[in-house]
Amino acid sequence: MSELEDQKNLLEVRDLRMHFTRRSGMFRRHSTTVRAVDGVSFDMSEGETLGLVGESGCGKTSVGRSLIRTYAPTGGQVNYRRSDGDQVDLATLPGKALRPYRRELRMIFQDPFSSLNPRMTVRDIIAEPLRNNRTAHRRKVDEKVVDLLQIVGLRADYLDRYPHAFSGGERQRIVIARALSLDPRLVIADEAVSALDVSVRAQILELLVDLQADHGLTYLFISHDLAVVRYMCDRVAVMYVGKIVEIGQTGTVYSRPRHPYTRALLDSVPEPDPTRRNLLTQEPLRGEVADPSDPPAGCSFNPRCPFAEEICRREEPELRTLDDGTQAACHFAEELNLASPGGRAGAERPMR
Amino acid sequence: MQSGEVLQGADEALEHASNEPVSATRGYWHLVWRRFRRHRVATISAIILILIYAVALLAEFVAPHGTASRFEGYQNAPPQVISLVDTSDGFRVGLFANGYAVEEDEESRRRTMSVDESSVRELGLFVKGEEYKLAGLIPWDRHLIGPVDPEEPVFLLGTDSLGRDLFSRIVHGTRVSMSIGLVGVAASMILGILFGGLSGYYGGATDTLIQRFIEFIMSIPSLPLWMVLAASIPTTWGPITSYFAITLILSIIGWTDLARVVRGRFLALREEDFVESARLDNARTLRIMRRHMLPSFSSHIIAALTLAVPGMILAETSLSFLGVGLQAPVVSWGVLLQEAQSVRSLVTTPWLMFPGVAVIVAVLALNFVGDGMRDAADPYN
Ligand SMILES: Nc1ncnc2c1ncn2[C@@H]1O[C@H](COP(=O)(O)OP(=O)(O)OP(=O)(O)O)[C@@H](O)[C@H]1O
Ligand code: SF4
Ligand SMILES: [Mg+2]
Repeated sequence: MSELEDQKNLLEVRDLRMHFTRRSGMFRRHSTTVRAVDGVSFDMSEGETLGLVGESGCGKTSVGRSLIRTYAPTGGQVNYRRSDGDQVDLATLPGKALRPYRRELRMIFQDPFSSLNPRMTVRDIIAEPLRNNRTAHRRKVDEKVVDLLQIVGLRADYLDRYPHAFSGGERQRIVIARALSLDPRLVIADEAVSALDVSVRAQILELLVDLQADHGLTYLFISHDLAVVRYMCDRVAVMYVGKIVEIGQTGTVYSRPRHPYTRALLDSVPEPDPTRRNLLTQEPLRGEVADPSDPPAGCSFNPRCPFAEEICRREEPELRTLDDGTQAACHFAEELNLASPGGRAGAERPMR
Repeated sequence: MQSGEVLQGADEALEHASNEPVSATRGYWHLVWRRFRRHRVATISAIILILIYAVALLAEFVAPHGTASRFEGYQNAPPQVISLVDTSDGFRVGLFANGYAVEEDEESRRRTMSVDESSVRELGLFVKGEEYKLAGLIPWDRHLIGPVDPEEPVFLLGTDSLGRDLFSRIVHGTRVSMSIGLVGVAASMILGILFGGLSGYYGGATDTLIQRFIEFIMSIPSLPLWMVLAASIPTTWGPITSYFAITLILSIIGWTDLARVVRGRFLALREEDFVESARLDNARTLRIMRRHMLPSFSSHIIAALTLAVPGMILAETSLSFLGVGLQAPVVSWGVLLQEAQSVRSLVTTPWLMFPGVAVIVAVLALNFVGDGMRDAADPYN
């Protein structure tokens, strides 16, 4: 761990848990616990972009919301390094004490249609955080709003328009301007481009990259689009049923995944070149995602895993660091060779 | 694509164009108004309502006579029809009505009045009449319409058994009947937004408690409750005090519907991304409610309020009709109807039911406006 400590990480998430209790039945007697996030740990260094990928329902949003504390995590730590160098655990801070950090950790929502108040003009929407936090003098607010509009590439004469008069891409620019208005350090983008047309996506991604360079931002980039994550992220974390199953440098993970689930995810991305697309080798992900309220014993992925063995049903694999620096949680991470699609070609099975 | 289709499409596109500059900076209320206007019946009803409330405000000016003015010798006079020309003696243009004839039954000694087609009485606009204070402030003696010769009165909707002009009394009653709805609804609004807001914003146990309470209130049959409460108003209370007591009694039940509307909206909005982002912007709870949540359904509140007014008006009418509401010196539509409350009067003086027509017109207009409002409340869908 000494390596991590030297780097002075902006964020160190340790064993984060977000369990939802759902009550059902008459008189709410039955309760089930949904383990949306179940022991997630990762670090983020200043200025990097970490991707968070996984199938729908694996807990990506819950991780993001636990970090910005719209959810109160049920366990673990979110150690955030303030600009003065001290660390605070955001996971347990009470609401009032969170206020200063709400300015430094900002969220870009997925749906640019529902995240802007239809009754407010662009001017008021972007000025709202400035007013609430009294960061700008009253007379300077307008100037600052115009600046922000320009930064995100919108014309200043759009100020008095209402959100309904903008396209999805433009709205997302407004959302980004609002996120930037308080000079954040960490921006959590939850499916920030998923709701947008493909043609607009690239523009917004580019804007995010430019802003990162100009403002020294750190991104947690949540997405289920592996191609977008590859373009955006320095590192990538793969989640499956509330846990991180693999995390490492984007290039390494994409060219040589170490977890069978990562391999399966990569295989499920359609080959962009239709002449090379081969439906026979492109195996879809088999089976159903495990139920986060009742995950299978041992490795959660074992019912769907083509390499599952006896031990997988019995023992839960730990996330451990491999030779190339990637961390993976699979009993056979060292033995399996998953570099090529399907993961079959060089997959050697030491015991069978 | 056919060119006609293209044109039609273009029209639609203009309405919804994302970069159409005019509507881009037009606020929500502009869009609501535009949508409301498309609703023909609602628009007409709105105009009627405005007229009714204007009458309520300027009752003394609009009515030819005062509420208590009795006309000796004109008891139970039937309504008269206004004509615009008079041909009895050459040709004249103006406002005219016929005079009255009196027949006396020898045996029963009962006087019956009928319209005398052979005589003509002239009406005028802005005629001098009884003195009054306009809106309770400005002393004046002009009336919108009235007989040119005070000795030759005309009763557009007839008179009652005491010789009082029914039209004037209905006009004066407009003030009490229409305002009781507004005042009652204002009280409901405060209770409804308060309890509905608490219920919807906090949810959980607060919500459950308030909802059970509302269900309890709603399960009480309203008319008997009103009657009990209204009957317990001390008779020593003056007309103004009992008027407010009655409005409060009516709003005891009226607020529950509104509370439900408000609660539902708050519950839905609480989860909206833009409300959450306001929370993340460090906005305080009250600011979130006031600035981010309430404006999103103020039109729904107005619609719900508008739809609650007719209930109040009907309730006042019912209570007064049953004799436990407002009492005689006060003039409201319900009080007037109570005076028409006998079979005999139905047969011999059917025009005494005219206040009922006023109630129906007002209630329908309010309902249509409320419906139009509700439909226009979501202009983005
Ligand atoms: N507020 C909540 N109450 C109860 N259960 C929840 C809540 N939020 C999320 N969950 C459950 O937690 C699990 C993880 O949800 P989450 O939204 O974090 O997944 P996700 O990876 O973001 O999915 P998606 O890709 O569909 O957005 C799901 O099973 C979901 O039903
Ligand atoms: S631990 Fe076993 S089941 Fe889980 S991914 Fe590895 S091989 Fe598959
Ligand atoms: Mg999500």
